[in-house]
Amino acid sequence: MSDNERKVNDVGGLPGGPIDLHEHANTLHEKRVDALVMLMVNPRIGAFTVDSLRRAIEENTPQEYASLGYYSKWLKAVRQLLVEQAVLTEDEIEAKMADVRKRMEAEAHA
Amino acid sequence: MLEVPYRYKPGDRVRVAQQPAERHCRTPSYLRGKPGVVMSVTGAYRNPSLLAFHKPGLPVIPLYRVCFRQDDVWEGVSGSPDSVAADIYEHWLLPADGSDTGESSHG
Repeated sequence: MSDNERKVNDVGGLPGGPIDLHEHANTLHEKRVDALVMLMVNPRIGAFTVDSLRRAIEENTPQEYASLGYYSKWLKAVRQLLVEQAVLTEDEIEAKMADVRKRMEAEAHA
Repeated sequence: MLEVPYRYKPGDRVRVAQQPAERHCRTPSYLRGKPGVVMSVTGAYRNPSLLAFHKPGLPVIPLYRVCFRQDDVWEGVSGSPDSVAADIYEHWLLPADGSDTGESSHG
């Protein structure tokens, strides 16, 4: 089967080397991403479905898929889907990120 | 369980279609073209390939739990007592004898 018939997430049966089975505590960032996704897919909000979250993750390049962590893939997908669904625009996201960055820098120098 | 026509029933021998992945695909590549046996009818669900693109995903489509012998799935494996089970949507399944008339064989 050629690679273009296999999505980037579809790695079952491929040689993958040993699996790191160490447990680790979730970071605050990871918990926030998880909470964000649970809110967005909740039927009462319904900004997008888990199916579309999976699809957005599958649209990563093999390089992105290999290098991004589990919740980084989620967050990248959330951003894409909120724009697709016209909940937010790229400009609004960029402007908010600039605001937050400025505030954090000010706090760091306070 | 929703009342939809189910083409297969537990015990039926099936084969996973050897076709390219859908834009969002729930059928793993390592099972494509492999023979298996229907273990159970899981139910009927909105089509994930459509839900993935913000569509309602209707009509619902039947989903089956299918059992595959490890010997049939992996090259170089023989005599394994183990099997692997996977949930496969009906549009990815063909009758194991290879005759696919497109007609429902079980009403």
